[in-house]
Amino acid sequence: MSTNALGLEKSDYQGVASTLCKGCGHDSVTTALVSAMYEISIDPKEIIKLSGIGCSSKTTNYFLDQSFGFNSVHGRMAPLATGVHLAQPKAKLIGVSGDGDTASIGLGSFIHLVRRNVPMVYIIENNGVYGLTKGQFSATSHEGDQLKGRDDQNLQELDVLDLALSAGCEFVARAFAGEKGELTNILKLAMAHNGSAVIDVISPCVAYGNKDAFSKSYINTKEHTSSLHDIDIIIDGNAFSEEQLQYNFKPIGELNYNNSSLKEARSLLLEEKSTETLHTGVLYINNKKKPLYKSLEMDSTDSFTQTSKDIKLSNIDFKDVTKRWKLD
Amino acid sequence: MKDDLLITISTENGTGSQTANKILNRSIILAGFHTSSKNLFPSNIAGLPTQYRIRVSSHGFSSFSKNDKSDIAVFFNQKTLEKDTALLDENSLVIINDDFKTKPEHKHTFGLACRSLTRELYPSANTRKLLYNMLYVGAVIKSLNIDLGHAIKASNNVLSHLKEDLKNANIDALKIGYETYDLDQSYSLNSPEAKPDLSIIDGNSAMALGFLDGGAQVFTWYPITPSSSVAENFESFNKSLGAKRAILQCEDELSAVTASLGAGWAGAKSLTATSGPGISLMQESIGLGYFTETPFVIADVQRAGPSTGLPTRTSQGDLTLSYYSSHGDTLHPVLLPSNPQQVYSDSYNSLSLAQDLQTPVFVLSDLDLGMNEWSTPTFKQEANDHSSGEIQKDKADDFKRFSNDQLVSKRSLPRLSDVSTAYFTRGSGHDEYGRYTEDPDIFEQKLLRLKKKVLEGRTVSKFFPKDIVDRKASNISLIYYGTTSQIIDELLFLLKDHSPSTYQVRALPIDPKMNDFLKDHELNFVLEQNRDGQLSSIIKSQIKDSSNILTSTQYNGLPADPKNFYSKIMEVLK
Repeated sequence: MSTNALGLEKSDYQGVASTLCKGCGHDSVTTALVSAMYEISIDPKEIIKLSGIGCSSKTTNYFLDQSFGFNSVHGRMAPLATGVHLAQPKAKLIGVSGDGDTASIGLGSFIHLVRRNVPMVYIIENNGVYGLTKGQFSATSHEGDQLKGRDDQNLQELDVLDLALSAGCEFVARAFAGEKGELTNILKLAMAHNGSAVIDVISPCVAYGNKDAFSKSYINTKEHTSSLHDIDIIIDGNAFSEEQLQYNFKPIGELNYNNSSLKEARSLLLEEKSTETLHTGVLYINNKKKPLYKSLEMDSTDSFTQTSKDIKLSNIDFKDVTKRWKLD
Repeated sequence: MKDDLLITISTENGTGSQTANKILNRSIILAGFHTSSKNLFPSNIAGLPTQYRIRVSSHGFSSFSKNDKSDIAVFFNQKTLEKDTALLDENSLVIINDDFKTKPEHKHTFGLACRSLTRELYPSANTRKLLYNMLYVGAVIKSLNIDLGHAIKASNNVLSHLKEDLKNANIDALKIGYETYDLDQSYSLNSPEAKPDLSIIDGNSAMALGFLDGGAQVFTWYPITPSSSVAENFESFNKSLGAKRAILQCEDELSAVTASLGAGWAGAKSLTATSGPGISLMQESIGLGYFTETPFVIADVQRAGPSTGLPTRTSQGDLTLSYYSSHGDTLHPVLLPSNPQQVYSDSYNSLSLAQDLQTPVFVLSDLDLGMNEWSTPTFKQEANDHSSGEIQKDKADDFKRFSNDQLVSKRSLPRLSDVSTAYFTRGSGHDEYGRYTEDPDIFEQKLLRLKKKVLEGRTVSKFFPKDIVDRKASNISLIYYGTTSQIIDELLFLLKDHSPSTYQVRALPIDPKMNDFLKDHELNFVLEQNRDGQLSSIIKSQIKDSSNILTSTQYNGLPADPKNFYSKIMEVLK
């Protein structure tokens, strides 16, 4: 049995058996996550898994069984992650959300997480449809999309990557669940990023959103995706410090994305709208922003290491605060 | 000689009068008298009427009734003269801005020619307007026969942040007001007793200190009246001590509470602070915290609802909302402080209580306690060490995160505990290991244990505050909580023929010991600042025979009024 640098087998990175529909795109994302974590030899103890509610949010149970996980309430994965980060700034957070969870009920939370640059991998398993409540349109479905038993979608879609860029995200990527190799590489890269890394994974819903007349069906997505880079990695040498490139992870291949530009990323997204192309790969990468805990001028101490002695006010500090109220 | 006196100051908000009023209140306290001050301010930044009332009482009585006549009335708002005049009786002293075009007819009126009296004091005309307020402070001090030195000391204390020239201009105005006042109408208060070591503090500052000292590591919040200053004070104390606690202003209350939950789950002592509308928004994640047995604290500085209601008026309307927060079967510990010392202590203890019980804990203050200034003996620091509850760190063969073998099971923490104790936390139905299940028996067992955990929480944690009971030979009793406790002395004075027993509830759920107390009295009056008697309904839900429980209420947004409760109790006793 082969093992990674930590001596762990791939099965050590797996979770409980999936209960999603057979052929669900989300299960492919799970497989890619297991491969990526195994290959970068990260210690499962260092990872915390987070999610909201929906089919996508269930998947945090299907990988990394040895890591702690929290499947919370609909749309609140972002503040949950923010709180965990404040308690444990060194933890590696992996969040899995869906298009309902992120682009509708949790839209505000998502934008503010990115704005604050909470360091985490934020995966959106995006299929344009609410699966768990049986096939309603989500806000990322496209104008003209058709779903069984419903009026056609006549509203414009929300592009989660466009929103992430607007909020100042410094790692913006798209992948297709049907291209596991590329997704795995993007995940590895995202794990090395010390900030919010948003990955929009088009992950078709086989139960409700897989007909020809639905943009995010498997066939339509496969036909329209176009990879921005070679499958092997694409990394801007300036984007990562040595310190960030930990976990034995090394970039592979040519540095063919060394001209990271916000303008270019935006024009790629604009171009998609007119050409119906779906760019996969890393659209934008940078490392100018501080992670949240540094913006708040905290240090990276884990709260659980602090004892009562560390956090109770000393008698001198207590007096220092209370003296301002003394009358005399 | 007077032993009880009411001062009412009517101004416009945004004119700096609040600072002057603080100085006046402190001057009277420094002179050795007991005061209770209430700032009745509008939900607005500038230009609307605001009223500040100071009751000076040698009995130590607080509060007032809304129609109480003022002994001294300061009329510094032209627009409200007519309304303000209604609070006068023939002996009242009126101190008025003499520059007003119209003035009420009243026997004892003293005019302060504000514009001319301050002309030489400061170059900027706009700044000079702020000095007007110090004129009335000086005049009132003189009418009370209080030494000017106390007022100068109070000014130096309150204005310490000002530049020297501006501070001096204020003190000059104070002196001019003092010297100008020459009416015969003056008051001598009963001779004061020497007061020991006093502090003046608002409840929100005391709360912030409690959370800081109680070990809060993560504080996530969203601005709302009247609770914002809890977080703002916490931040300012944290900064002044050079500490590095996490303080985050969130995008809304849903995020504030969920971030607090996430931090609590990951091992931090965490909290959020808000008011009623925020509690309404936080409901879903409070239920998540309850069901996943995650410790964090929610502080609620109550204001008058429903809806936007009266954002700058007080209430005890969030008791049942807190106690039963979220959908489905829930129950949460709720701590009920009534004064600055208690709100400091309860905030301190709530963080460890949440850890001991592994559940969300509420601290319920209100606007009266939180935003008004209270004079109090300088308080003592809590001596108890904090608790982090029971944590499983080492490898465990068969770790049950949600074991039903005890009321509170050991919990494991991400990145601290061994991977063998890792579990998947979910708000959906789960077994003792945290695994998803829809098994009806397992679901019932979990809900039953959660209920017992809170109801019997006093047996698990020493951080529950204890009720304060005074049992007398009487057959009637008064039961109360929060700021209503501040008027009990006066109510007992009014009810002296009946000499009722008293019971201050300090926390929910009800301490089962209350049962005997209730049985011992023919009539138990529960006094509340809400319409429907929320504490009464909670007592009744826990006590078998509730036929001897009556409810007296006040819900007009004003601080608890002793005369109101007295008349309601007497309607029954007659």
